[in-house]
Order: sequence, then C-alpha cells, then structure tokens
Amino acid sequence: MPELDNLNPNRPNLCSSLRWKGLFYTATEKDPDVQPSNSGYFWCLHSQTCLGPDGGLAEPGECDKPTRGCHKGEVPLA
Amino acid sequence: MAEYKWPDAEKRQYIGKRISRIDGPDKVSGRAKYSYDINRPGMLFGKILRSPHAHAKVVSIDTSVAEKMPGVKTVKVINGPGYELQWAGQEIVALAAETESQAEDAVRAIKVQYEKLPHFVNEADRSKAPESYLRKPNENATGDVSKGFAEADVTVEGFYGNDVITHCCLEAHGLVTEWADDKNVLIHPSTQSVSPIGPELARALEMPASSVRVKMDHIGGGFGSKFPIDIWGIEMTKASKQAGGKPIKYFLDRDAELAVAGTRPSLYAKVKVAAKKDGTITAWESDAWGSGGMGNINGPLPYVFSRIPNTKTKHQTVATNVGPQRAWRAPNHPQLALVTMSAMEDLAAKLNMDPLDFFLKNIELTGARAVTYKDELMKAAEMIDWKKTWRPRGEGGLGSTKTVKRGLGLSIHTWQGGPHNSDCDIIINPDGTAEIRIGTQDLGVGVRTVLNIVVAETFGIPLDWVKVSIGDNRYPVSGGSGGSTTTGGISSSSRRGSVDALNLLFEKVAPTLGTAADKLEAVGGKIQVIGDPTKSMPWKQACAKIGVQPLVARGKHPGQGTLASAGVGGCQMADVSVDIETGIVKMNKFVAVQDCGLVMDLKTAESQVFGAMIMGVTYALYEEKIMDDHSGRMLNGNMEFYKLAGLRDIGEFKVHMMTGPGYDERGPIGLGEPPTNSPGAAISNAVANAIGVRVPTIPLTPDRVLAALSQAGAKKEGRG
Repeated sequence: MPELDNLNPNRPNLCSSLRWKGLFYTATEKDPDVQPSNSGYFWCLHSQTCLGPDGGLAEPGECDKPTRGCHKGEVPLA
Repeated sequence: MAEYKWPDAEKRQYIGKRISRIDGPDKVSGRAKYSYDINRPGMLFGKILRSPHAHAKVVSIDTSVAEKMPGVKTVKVINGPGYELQWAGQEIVALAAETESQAEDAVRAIKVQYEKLPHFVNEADRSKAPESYLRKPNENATGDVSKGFAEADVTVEGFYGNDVITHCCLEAHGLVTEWADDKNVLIHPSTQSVSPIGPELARALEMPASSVRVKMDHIGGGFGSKFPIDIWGIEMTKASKQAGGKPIKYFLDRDAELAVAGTRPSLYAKVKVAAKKDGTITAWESDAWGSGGMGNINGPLPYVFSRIPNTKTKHQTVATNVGPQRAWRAPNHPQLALVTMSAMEDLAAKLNMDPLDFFLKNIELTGARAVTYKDELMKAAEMIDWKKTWRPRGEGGLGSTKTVKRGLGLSIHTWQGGPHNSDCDIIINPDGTAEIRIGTQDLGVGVRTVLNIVVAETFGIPLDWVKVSIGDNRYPVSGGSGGSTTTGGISSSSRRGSVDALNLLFEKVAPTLGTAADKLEAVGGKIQVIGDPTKSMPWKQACAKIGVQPLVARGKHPGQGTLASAGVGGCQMADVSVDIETGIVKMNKFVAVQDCGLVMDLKTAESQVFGAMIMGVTYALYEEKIMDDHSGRMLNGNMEFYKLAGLRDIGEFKVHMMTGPGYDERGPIGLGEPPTNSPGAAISNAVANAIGVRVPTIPLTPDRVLAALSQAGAKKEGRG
C-alpha cells in the first residue's frame, strides 16, 4: 500500500534532527500483509514539535532540503 | 545444552499460564512510585506560559516583573518575539520557583503582546478549510474501478468518520530533572523510551549522551505519546542548570496535557463500495481526509480487505491549528477500521445478508491471514451467540422494545507487532537467585511479569527467585516501549540470555555430575542429566559452584533462532442497546478474539485485550476533543468534560486468546495495539443494526444518534 511520499523517511540529505516513533525501536520482523502504520507523527529534536525551529513542517519531505536554515547534517557537541 | 527455542507445550511450567502481575501488589497498595511521585530535597516547581490563541505572532514579551517575584529562580523565553504560534497551548515562557503557587503567580505576571492571526480548528467539513490548509492529496488505484462497479449488482455510498481525540494519560507528561554536578544530569521522566531518551536530551543540549542518567520505575500511561523528551524536558533541564542544578519538577497541568500532549488524528471518508448478489465485493472507491494538527497524516484504505480487486482511493490532509498529533495506540488503524468495516456492514445490509456471512464470503480478500480471521469470526460468533441473536438491520434485535432497540455489530483488524531490538543482562548469583537487567519500561502490558516468566521458565526455578530490574538507562539498551514491539523483543532477548547463562552454569556443574555440559537440563528446581532425575543436583547447590562472582550473560534480539514474529488478526463483536428517545447507547456485551502468537502470560494477555476494549468503548461512545471555532481553543480540557468510560458503561466483556498449534510456534507477537482497532467499528455497526440507520461519525453521542434517526425519519417522510 503506497504511503504519502512526504512521510517517507528513506531519502538522501535528511536532517539529522528529524525524529519519528520508529527511530525509538527497530522492529526487525514485519508482516507484508499488514498495512503500514506510519502515523505521520514526526518531530524536530530541537523544537520537539511537528514544526522545526524555523516554523516550517518537520517532515521527511521538508527536512531533506539542506537549503533550509535549520537543516543539520550533524549536531555538534559542546 | 539448553536451546534457544521455546519449550514444547507439555514442558512449559509458566509460559502461557495464568500468572498475576508481579507489580500488582505495589500498584494497588500505592507503594509503586511513578515519576510524578518523585520529590527531591530543595526541589523547584516548573511552570510554562502557554499561548491563549490558536494562531498568533508573538510581538513582545516582558518577564521583568515575574523575574523579581518571591521564590522565582529562573525564567526563560522559549518562543520569543516574531515566533508564529500555531495552536493554543504552545509554549512561550518557562520558569521555576520554590513553590508551585509562586510559579503560577509568576506565569500570570508575564506580559505578552500577540498579533492574532486567522485559525482553523474543525475539519469534518473540509469545504470550510482555507485553501492554504489543504495539503496535496495522495491518490492510488488498483485494477479497473469502473469495471468493478459495472459488474456489481448492489452499490452503497456512505460517509463515515471519527473526530480528533486526545491522549488522556492518567499520569501527565513531565519529569523531575536535576544536575548532579555541572556536567551530569539525572532525570526521572514519565516516558516510553528508557534507553533512547537520555541521548535525545543530551543531543538537544549538545552534551555527551553518557552524561544523562534516566531512572524511572513506573509509567501511568503513554499509548504512544511519551516517546520524545519534549520541549518541557529540555527547557526544565536548562532551567535546572540556571538554578544551580537544583531539581525541578514539571508535569503538565491537565488542561495542557489534553491540549498539547498529543492527539489521534481524525479521519473522514466518502466511500462507494459494490458487490454482486452473492456478496462478492467487486470495487471500492474512497475520498478521505483528516487532520493531525499541522503535520501530514496517512490513511491507506480499504483496511484489512486490502485485496479488493478494483480500488480507487484518495487521501488528503487538512491542516488545523490544533495541538499536534502523536502516535495513539495503533496509529491509523482504529480510524481505518471504522471507515472500512462500516462500509462493509452497510453493503451487507443492502444485500440483505448477515454481515457475518458477508465477511466470511469475502475473507480471502484479507490475504494471508484469511484462515485466522475465519476461525476468529466463528469463535466470536459462538461467544456472543450471533446466529441466535442477530436480526436484519432495522428490525430491532432480540429483546428490543418500542423505545430501546438492540443490535449486533462486528469488525476485524490487524497489526504488525514485530519484536524490537533488545539487549539484556541475565545474572545468576551464587545463592541461586537470578536477576534480569534491561533498559525497558512496562507501559502496562506486564513486562516485569513476562521477563520473570521467561527467566524462571528457562532455569526451572520458582518465579520469586528472579528479580526483574527495568527503567534505568544504565541497563542494557532495549527499544522504546511502543508499537506492540516490546513483548516480542524482550522475550526473545531474555530467553537467549537465560539459555546462555544456563549453559555457563552447566559447564560449572557437569564435572560433579560426571557428565558433559551438553547432557544437562534444568527442570523443577534441579540441574539433572537429561531425562534422568536420579543424576541431579538442586539448583541452589549447583549455583554454589559458580564461586563468589555472579555469572552473567548478555541476551540479544535479534539473535540466533526465530523466537518471535509479526502480524496478527483479531475479531470483535458488540451487542448494544440504543434508547431511540434519548439517543443513549448502552453496551450489553462485547467479545474479542485475538491471536498474538505464543502467549507468555494468559492473564496479562487477556488483561491487555480488556484494557483495549475499555479504551475502545470510550472512543466509540464518549471521547472527543471539542474545539471552539471562535476562540480556537479546546473546550473540554479537563476530566469533567473529556469523557472516559467508567465501570458502569462497559457492559459484559469476554476475551478469547487464540493459542495452541498454528499460533504458538510463531513465538510471541505484540498485543498492545491490535485489540484497540475494532471497537469503534464493531460498536458503530451494532448501533446501525439496532436503529436501522448509520450514525456517520464517532463518538456515538446521544445528539448524533438522535440526529441520524431524525434525518432518516425526515427522508422516509419525504422531508429530507
């Protein structure tokens, strides 16, 4: 069952601060006969909401744009 | 040598038996400490000023008065001038003070100027949405839908949906956070992510992940909403540092909890579905929309009957200025089940078919799980006495009176439930006691009990010889507790770890028993030569051979052997009575039949299903996040008007777990989500069967039931 392209996190240049539920557990087995359960629930590590620090949407389709002001390849450690 | 595979049915001492939760006494006596119960010496209390507007720009903020107020230790602007707020309740300023009332007073003293902007908060009528709030639709097609409808003898068209509801965790979101020194943080969060949340906080604060300690013993509900550290977790940890590392306690007030801590998206759909006279479904077409706040949502239809040959679907997100969505126990599935199963039952009614026969007729359209669904439908029908009780729609079910109509409805559902990655340490002490340490949390499924069962079963020892330690990020990393992934993951890792530990013990014991380690087994509190109780040693005596240092093994999932799998089916049937004068729906009986692979503890498994059914009755009949068009704010952000079912509302529940051959060999599969998916659909179908008309949207509140009856009456009389 195709899913909304904007919600597909498998894309290059994805901001390292984008978060979604699936990152918090990695389910190793999947049943192909069960429909995808991606809720569309994404959030930014820094704002902790569905909006990034710049006020734009925190979603794969929006967070793969390195030109976006808040886009991070890596988060620096102090 | 012990093997990783699960023991055969006749050898199981604890697995699959009815065992009470080991943390039950602590919970019912109040000894169990939730993060909300943590109070630290010198603790400050955090509060957050939140947006009163659904959509506004922050023009200016003046915190000067608040900063000088008694007891106030730290004030920090989260979203400052120029920030565009997108929902009422969004965070603006965080502060902490010595007492809760001082913090509340200080919040009230902050002056903020806003530029109000237009908002949109109710999306059921999509035509009212501003153009900029309508996202690009997702469209899909299979087969030839025109041909499918042309081949059909009967077609029905309907509108179905459910409103946005909110998480209503009885322990609110929040944490106690403190700095042990200027580099190390200790947090007691209410979270589903014991292992992942520390690195998340560290990364947000740009500090080493090793510097964040996470400790929590119990969680009062999460349902998918408590994965992130959340903005309040980050800001209060910053505030604690500003206050010299003093502990700060911050938990959301109930109104904020209901407004901003997560919603389940709405889903509405216009559906057209068709079948031949014999009930064979030929085509499906749907135009669906819904909202999860500002973000996009997904909604693949039709649900479970995913192999209908000709389909055409469209799904569109409608943005709203409502608090953001979060995963809510089986994201999407309850909504999709409602739309699909309602349309199916409407089609069966138009065909004059019993929906049970109609579902069975089309069961192959569900794919590989068709046989499971068939078995479950038959079992549920037996439990609710379907064939004896069911009557065609509108005839008034068995026992109906002039004003109270009885009806039956059904639904089927699925969920992945695959095991998550999981590590654990299994420790055997020289005194014969054992311990498991694992960075997981019990979200309510009975994790402690499951771990206890697996370890004790593997060692063949009493349950109370095993200590279960969870809820600490110093323990081996396990996945976040959610998505019905926990039981599969932790059962697998704890079994492998226990088997490895046991084989290490066999090595120590084998010389004394005069045999090789691979000839030993652990049974009934003894280590013995396989099948020969005369050559044995009591467990405790065997453990004394370890020496003085405990024996430790690391269990992992994934690992060797297949100990868990994914994918379940389930079926639910509801028996309701509807008072057609008041519109009140009463649950008479509700039955659930569910598989979850190998049941680890029958009692907690059934308990999971009971919990889901209660939650299901609640969202089917009562729950609704009521948003005010005018102010853009939630009108029922409290426990008085955000309605949850009570004991008298749920009726008689019956649960049957599908176990034994065909199920057990799959290993454990997660159970938290699946039984939540069908209640809305089954209850909505039962109401339609009782009163003869479809109440299009849930919750099935009295006003909606009466409106549907009134509209149907008007149509019948030629007025509608």
